[in-house]
Amino acid sequence: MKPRDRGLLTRVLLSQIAGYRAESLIGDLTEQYVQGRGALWYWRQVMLAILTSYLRLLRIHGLSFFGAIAVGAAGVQTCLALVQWMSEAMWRWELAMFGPALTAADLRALEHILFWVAWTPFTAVIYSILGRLIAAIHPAHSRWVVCLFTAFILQSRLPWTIRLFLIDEGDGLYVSYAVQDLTATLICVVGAWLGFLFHLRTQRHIELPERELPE
Amino acid sequence: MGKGAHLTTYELMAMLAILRLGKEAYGVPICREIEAHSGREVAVSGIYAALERLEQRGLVTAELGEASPQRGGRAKTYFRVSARGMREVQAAKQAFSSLWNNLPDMSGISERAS
Repeated sequence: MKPRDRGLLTRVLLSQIAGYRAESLIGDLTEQYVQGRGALWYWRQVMLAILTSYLRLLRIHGLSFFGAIAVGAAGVQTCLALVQWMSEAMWRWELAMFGPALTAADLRALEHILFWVAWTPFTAVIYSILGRLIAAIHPAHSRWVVCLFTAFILQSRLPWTIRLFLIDEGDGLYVSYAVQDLTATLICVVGAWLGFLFHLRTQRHIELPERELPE
Repeated sequence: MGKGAHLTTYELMAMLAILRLGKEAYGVPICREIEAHSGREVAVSGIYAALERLEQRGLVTAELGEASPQRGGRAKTYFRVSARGMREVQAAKQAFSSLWNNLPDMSGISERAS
């Protein structure tokens, strides 16, 4: 393959070379190729330059990037454990208070009330804080970190939601749980992005130059 | 040797190549100079990584030059060794010379190694 063809692959590969004096580096490679270096030499150098670019990024941003992901993952696990503990405590309280007086339909209604009144605002706030926190830990690529965080939320929750849909026996009981779970997942994702947007807003506020007062 | 980390072989070779090339010290001739004297192919990105470290330590300075069609319209970056860089090179030379002078006869060692 001739590098001079300037095909899509060449453009994509060269765009991966980033960082210190990247334009001059690419120019040096092109100049040496034009002066007679082989295509094999050129592509080997391009691959080495891409590898060096990524290693440089990892060296500069690696700690804060993985730190942000670790904080996000730990936050999700803590939140899940907290919700589990609260649900069990409330369940025990319901049984102790009303016990045999409640029917299955009453318990389901109570569950829905708890979900919308207690769980939803609590989770939205927690995930907003997490979204804002991880964006602040790694501000250089905050959008990507929040993308990864929401992908982590989806992969940890969606399989269970799909399973609830699949195991439904036609009475709609598990479907209602699945819908509730899907709503919860969306609340987590929206919460994380709201936190990110809030982070962006505060960043912009910091970056705004001071305007001179009119005379 | 001055404060801070010692120069690596790559960094020292890059600085010596810059000194040899004078005003024409940009990526391509620097690589050619090192290849000609070391007899090994160099990774251009490796040279730039070394130059980045040197610039961060204030041992070399960089200046953006002209672009040319031969380079795909991309500008050259010219490098120069700073005064601090010169002191580092001199110190490295003195250290190498001193170590080299007191070496025992190596003819026997090289024969055994081969």
